Amino acid sequence: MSDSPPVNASDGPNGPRSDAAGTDADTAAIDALCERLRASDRDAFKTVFCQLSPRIFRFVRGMVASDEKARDITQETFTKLWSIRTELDDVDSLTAYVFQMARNRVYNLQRDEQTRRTHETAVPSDALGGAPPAPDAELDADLLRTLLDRWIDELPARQREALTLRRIDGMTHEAIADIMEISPNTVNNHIVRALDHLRARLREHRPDLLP
Amino acid sequence: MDTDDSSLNNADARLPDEVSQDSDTPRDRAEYAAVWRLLGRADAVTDEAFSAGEAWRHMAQQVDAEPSSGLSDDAPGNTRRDTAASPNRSDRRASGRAPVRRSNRSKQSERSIRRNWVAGALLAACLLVGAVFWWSRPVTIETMAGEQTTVSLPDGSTVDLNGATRLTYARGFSVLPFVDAETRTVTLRGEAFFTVASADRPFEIETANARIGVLGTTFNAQAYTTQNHPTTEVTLTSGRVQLRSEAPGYDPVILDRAGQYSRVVGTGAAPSAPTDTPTETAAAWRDGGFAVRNASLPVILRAIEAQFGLPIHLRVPESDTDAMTLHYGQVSDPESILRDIVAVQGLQYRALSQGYELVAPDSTHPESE
Repeated sequence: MSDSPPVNASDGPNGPRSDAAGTDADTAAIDALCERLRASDRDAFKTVFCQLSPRIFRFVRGMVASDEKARDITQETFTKLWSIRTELDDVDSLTAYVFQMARNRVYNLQRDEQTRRTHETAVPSDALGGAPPAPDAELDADLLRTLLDRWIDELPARQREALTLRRIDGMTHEAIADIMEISPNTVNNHIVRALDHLRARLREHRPDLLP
Repeated sequence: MDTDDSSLNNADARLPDEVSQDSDTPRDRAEYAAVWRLLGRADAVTDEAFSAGEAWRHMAQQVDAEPSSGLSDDAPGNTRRDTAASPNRSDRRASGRAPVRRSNRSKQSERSIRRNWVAGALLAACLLVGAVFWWSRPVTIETMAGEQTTVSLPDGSTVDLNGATRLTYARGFSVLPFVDAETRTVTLRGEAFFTVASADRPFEIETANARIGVLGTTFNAQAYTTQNHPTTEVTLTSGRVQLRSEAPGYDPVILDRAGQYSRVVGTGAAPSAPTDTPTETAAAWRDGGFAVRNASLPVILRAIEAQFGLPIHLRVPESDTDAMTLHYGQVSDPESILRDIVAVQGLQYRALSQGYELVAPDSTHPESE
């Protein structure tokens, strides 16, 4: 992925994305393994898997509201990667490529489920929002996850994708733009809209969680 | 980004710059920071739900590598596994078949490689045979009674099928993949309107008792068998058509004027001399109409049955009925055709649970279905 600074990078070197710099280095290291992976090097695959799979899982988990599904999709993504390893010759960035594979899998799954879901009655959107408010500090992490899952699920797919990628190790706009194949500015717009939506939902249902 | 943001960012190390725009009020920024912090806390839950080490153990089985003992040796700089791992794998595989001598290890794995090759070659051969077999089977398109459809042929010709019609042709009009057959041949049972694309090889329609040969034209063709009596009829709309009896010794008939019509009735008969017919009756069925020319009652009823999916039983001897010519531009109700037929033929029709029957006027006891 790109080494150039992020679009809005007015932060100093000690800014919020000091961890992102490390990610870029990791990314370069992973991309360098592409050649070995293509030669069916199992060790290279194992390295790629162990480095990337937690990130892919977090990304997928941000897109589907189930640990189980996210684990499956992650596993399938890498199974697929291994099965197509010999065809990886025109891949620019292995990392971006794997993220795209995972993303496509998620969309395929959601498209398949869409058909089923249309026959089910929708759960009222405030079913969870009506939970008794608890102080921010004491809010059960699982409940928080459930709440956010519901609201993130309401986001348009592309916004959800951008927001989730942004949360993966503070991925840069360029890195996200690479994966989503859109411009960094569009990435920015998606993320701002996604955050706006979440903020609106919080105001509506859990104002206690906002300052 | 100003100093306020920096302090916010420091409070939460992952506040994104997206939210730090000039238009944002400090309250906005604080709220975005809160959203981001909540997301971070939720992500922390997510992180616990996944263990790369455990996931790798599943993955390792799939890539046929040995599972790792834990996350600790998942580091990128991990040393190569010792080479004993691979033979162990082949041992595992071979052990299901026969006891394996350790000393034969390399020979054994060579053999298993060769076995894989043979299996692969066999599989490829099977696939090839299957593909050729699939290719060699003709394509059949069939309509139910009362159903009509349009078919595009591999050469760009189109065929409109009337009801109860079957059209069969060689896949791709070829004898083998990429080997064109000498003629574009289709087999027709029923009625169809052909729009044949011009090409340098002839287009032929085989029916039970005749052959229709064309080179780029449009025409209606009927090929049906009533009471073991095959009949083939052709009405030309444009171009030029040749109708030839299957039986040897008869000259083919050439139709080369729009509206010309010829037919072969029965086996071993010559095609009738071309006669002119109003072109609009040639394929009235394509526009929701119905037309027959000088046809016996059984033939007419068969045509109604095919086009409208309406079974009609004739309960009087054919000899008591007359041939008719009918033409309807639009048929909204097939029963109206029946009304006209019984009026002309001096019969009665009665509705059955499915379809109709035509009976003599004095018949009072309908035969039960």
